[in-house]
Amino acid sequence: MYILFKGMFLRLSFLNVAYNVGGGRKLMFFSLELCFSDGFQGDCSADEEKRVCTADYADRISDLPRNVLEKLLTCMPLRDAVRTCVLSKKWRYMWVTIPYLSFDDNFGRPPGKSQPTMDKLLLNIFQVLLRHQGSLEGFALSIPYLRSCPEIDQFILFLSGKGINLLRIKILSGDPYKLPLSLFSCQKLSYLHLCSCVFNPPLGSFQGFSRLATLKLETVDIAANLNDFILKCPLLVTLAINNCSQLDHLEIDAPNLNSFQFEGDLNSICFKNTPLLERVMIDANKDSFTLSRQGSISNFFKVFSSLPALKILTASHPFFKYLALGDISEKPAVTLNRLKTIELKDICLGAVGELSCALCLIKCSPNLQEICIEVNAQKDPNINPALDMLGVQDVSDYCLDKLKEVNLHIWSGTKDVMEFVKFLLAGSSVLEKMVIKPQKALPSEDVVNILKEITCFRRASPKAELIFIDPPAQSNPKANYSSRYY
Amino acid sequence: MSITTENNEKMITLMSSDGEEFVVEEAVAAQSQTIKHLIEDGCSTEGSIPLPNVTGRVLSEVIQYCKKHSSSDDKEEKELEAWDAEFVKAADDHVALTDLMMAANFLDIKGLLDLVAQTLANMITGKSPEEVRRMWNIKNDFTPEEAEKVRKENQWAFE
Repeated sequence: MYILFKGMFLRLSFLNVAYNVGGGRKLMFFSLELCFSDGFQGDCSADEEKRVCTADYADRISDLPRNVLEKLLTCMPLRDAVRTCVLSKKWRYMWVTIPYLSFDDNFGRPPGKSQPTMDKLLLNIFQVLLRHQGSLEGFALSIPYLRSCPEIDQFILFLSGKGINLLRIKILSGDPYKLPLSLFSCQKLSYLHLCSCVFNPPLGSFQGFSRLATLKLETVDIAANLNDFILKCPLLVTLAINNCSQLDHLEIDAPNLNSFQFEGDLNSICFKNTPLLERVMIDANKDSFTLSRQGSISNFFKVFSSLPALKILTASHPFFKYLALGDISEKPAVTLNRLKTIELKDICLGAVGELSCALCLIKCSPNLQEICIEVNAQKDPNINPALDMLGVQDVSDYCLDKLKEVNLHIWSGTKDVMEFVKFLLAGSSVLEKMVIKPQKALPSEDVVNILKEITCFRRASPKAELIFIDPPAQSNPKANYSSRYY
Repeated sequence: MSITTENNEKMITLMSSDGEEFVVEEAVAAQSQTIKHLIEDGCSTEGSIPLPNVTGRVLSEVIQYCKKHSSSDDKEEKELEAWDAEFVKAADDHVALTDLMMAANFLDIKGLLDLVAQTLANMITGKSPEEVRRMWNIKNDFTPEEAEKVRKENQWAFE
């Protein structure tokens, strides 16, 4: 490319010269770029001219400061990052100081080829670790198939001496990986994600992870008391527990927790000290919470009185039923001032307990903006009490004047659903959108009947839009029905 | 130079390397840690803040990003992600993105730096070294023997 330059070409570039004054606060930058070019265009074709222009742009990327290039390399798969070593002399050792090493699912597997053997995989990892220099902040390891593998213990021992703060270990199949003790001495850990491991912290001697902010456990065999472990991680902000075994009762004492996500089996839960918890998602399996009995205080009150910061709540049926246990016919003395979004999955509006729990939740949340309910396929045979209950609700008891959007996933236009729609439309004065989406295609006659009925309902918001979405499975997809009320 | 608008928003003037002036709200400009520190140190009161490393074209893109990210709160996460994706798409090509990354680093805007770095990384992923060199006109200054040696040092990545 440079052969094209026949004349004088001079390029001076002082990019990113930074004066660091006053503890890194004041930054001043100078840039000077001079180009003298003379006569090189004379006998170039138009095409070559274009190439000269790009040549003038030459190698902006190699001019970037080392920390930026390291960042760039960190964003790509390790294989591609290492391959940049042959680009030019400047790039040769660029990758060896990247602070994060990710031996992920595709590591060691050349594109289009099959997974290498475990020996080859380990050999490649050792090659990288031996060449790597400087501090190592993050390490991710994904093992496609695990039998016994003492080498992983060695990696973790090595990392514990490097002051690692991000660690992810994922076993895709085979035996679960039993975590070594050295893991629990990684005092700088701020992010820990484990998948298919046996989690057995030595709680007697374990000092806790004083900096841990994120803990994600997926299909982990929890062989120790997780509640005690959480207690020893006081800075925890995000906690996700997905399909872990051996969990029965969760007691969450985490003063900095912001987000809690749970999927799987559980019998009871208690938020003991969670003043900052904003997002709670509990998608418990169907046999969860069946053993729990209600105490003298309703579960509803127990759970929500410990969640003063709650902003987004997602609950599946078993957890919702657990909340509904106990007498909540009177409004419990709890106000969820910050709750904006409620998402309930698989709820039966025709069952008195669940309906009153849903109504109670709405009543306690004066700033609610969005409600999303997936209605249960089952019909309650004894639907009348629920209908009676909806019938006597006085909408002025409810503060729905922030509610903007309602999403209802229904199975059919049963009476309980229609009454609930009626109730929400009558009470929400600023509603913008009510979306009704059947879970399966309904006969067009039913659709017309549902819409007919809804148009008769009194609505408090003049600008509410009703959107009826046909499920995609239908062979002849019709346009969505949409009607604006005036 | 600081002007105040009707809504009492303090305005800041930023000047690009090619002399273009941009008047933006202080809250928008302060998305850049570099500018934020300059404002805190009183550098914005005596006129516009010169940004000699950033051209007008790049600066206008940066401001677009900062405007979007200073006006959104966390409930719009998804929308913001979609906006980001469109934003880097509109930034055109890898050379323009490289300039944008340089500016994001210089101005110290972490979100933008992360976004652009990931986009560029995705562009490089899966490409041969020759292709990557061509994209940015990186000069191969290895002799064939040296290149072979470097390749051997990291043999696994080239298999």
